[in-house]
Amino acid sequence: MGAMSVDMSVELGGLKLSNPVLLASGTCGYGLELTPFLDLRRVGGVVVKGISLEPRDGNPPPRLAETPCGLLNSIGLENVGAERFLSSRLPQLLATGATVIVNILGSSAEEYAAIAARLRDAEGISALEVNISCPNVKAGGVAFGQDPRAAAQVVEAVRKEWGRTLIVKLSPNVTDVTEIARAVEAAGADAVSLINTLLGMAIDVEQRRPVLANTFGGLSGPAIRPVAVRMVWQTVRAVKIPVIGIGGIASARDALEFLLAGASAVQVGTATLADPGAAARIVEGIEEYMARHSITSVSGLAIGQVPGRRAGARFVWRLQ
Amino acid sequence: MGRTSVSARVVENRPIAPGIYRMGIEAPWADGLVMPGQFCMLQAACPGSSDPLLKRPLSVHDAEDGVAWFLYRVVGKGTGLLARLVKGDMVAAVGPLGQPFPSLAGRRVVFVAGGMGVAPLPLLARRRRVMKVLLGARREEELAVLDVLDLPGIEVEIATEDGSVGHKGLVTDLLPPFLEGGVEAVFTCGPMPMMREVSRMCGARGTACWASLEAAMACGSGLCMGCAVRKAGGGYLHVCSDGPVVDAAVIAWG
Repeated sequence: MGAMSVDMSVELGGLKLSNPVLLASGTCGYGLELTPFLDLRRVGGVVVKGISLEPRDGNPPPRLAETPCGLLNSIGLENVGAERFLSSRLPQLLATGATVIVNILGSSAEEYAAIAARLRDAEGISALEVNISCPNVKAGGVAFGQDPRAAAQVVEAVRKEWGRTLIVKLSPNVTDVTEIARAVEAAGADAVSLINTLLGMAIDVEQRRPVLANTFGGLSGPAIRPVAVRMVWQTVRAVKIPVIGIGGIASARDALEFLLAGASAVQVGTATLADPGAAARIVEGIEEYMARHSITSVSGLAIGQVPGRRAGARFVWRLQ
Repeated sequence: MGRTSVSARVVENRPIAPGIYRMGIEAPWADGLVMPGQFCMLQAACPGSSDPLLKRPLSVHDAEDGVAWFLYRVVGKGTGLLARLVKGDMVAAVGPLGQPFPSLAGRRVVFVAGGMGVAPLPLLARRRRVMKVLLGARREEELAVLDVLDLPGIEVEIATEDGSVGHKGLVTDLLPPFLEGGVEAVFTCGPMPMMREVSRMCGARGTACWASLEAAMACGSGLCMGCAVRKAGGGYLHVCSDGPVVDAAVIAWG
């Protein structure tokens, strides 16, 4: 086949990305740790480790347990806090040329809003990803992500302070993820990303105690991918805003499952821990797939009827 | 820092004692960039497989002529798959990673090792001056690794818990004469209870002590913050990026 040019760019609530592959929060540090292995301009964007207003120590160790095709973690949102992020991490990260998305967390709607206001004045942050889905802390995190009204309140509070793209990261630890997705859409979110980790647990049978000091942790990796694909498929059909697919993506084939399900973009998480260059490999693999299937635009990959969205893009798909 | 993520060819991989293997891989950084005490994340290359999912952190045992060596014990599935590799097979390798032992040029240093804690010694001996190695084991069989240690000009004093070789008792019993004799720093690598005691003894004498820590890791590169160890003053260090070699005084040994 000839050298076909494929359009990998996507748009997420006003934010134009060079390609649909993002690095997921919590698995790429502050981005800088990856630069020996990965040119950050090769990915669509970097979603940095969740930032709180004040620094957080995180949970006691052990914080990790590998499980079949998966990883349980209870890091507990350890981070350097907004001030140190802005002064010592963000400038270096921006200097790499990366598109920077900042994941934020708080223990009240007011605290989420305060971080958004603090980050608003910083040049170069393209979008916020509001984390209402961390399973590893009591106050904050998933408490907001399991109640549509609490989720909407957080999003409304952040929306007042943040005019740029606003993404909300959703928890799979709910009965109906589309209910939460619709609530944050109504509250002003520009996009939703899902799934965060599934709450899980491992027990050391020789020691006869939980492996993680925190007892429970968040399960990530290929083990959760079918659950994530299903939830993304459902959410794409329940909201009009773009959906970012996350969950066990380790190859271009895996990413394509989410794009075919209707996701506008994807995030690569645990795979980066195992292979720091995974995301760049996935970008190349998607390009190769599109060329092989004579698909010109990555935003036209969604299969099936997605009411009210991307009709033109699907038309391109049908013509091929 | 010269760290890379590569697919590397195995040049040798053989058992040297029950359950303990020594493996060499071709590594572009083996001739100069790697420093004693650093580690690599390694995984037997199994394209398309997700189990085990993550690489395993292994201390760099030695490095020369473009080959990096690792001394490892088979403890689970990841190391079990490594043990099956033969010459010519490929491993996925990320490294070299982490903070090395300090150089302390010209200073008198004792190395206290327990069990597999000998792993970083040959590279340390090659690159840095260590006056003496104190090695502890439960019984003679655990000392089999000594036969493959290439430690030119370094004296090894041994303690076994059952008295089968050397001093009968703990390796830490051997340390006081050196602390009293004015050794300037102690390096230690091995089980946590041993390193805790070495750290305590050094602290009591005001002797600098550097410990090489071990922790379960996912990335080895500071991405996940999973390998936390409690600091003496509160908060956490990360073994992969603040260590594995740390000033023992900053750790809350518990």
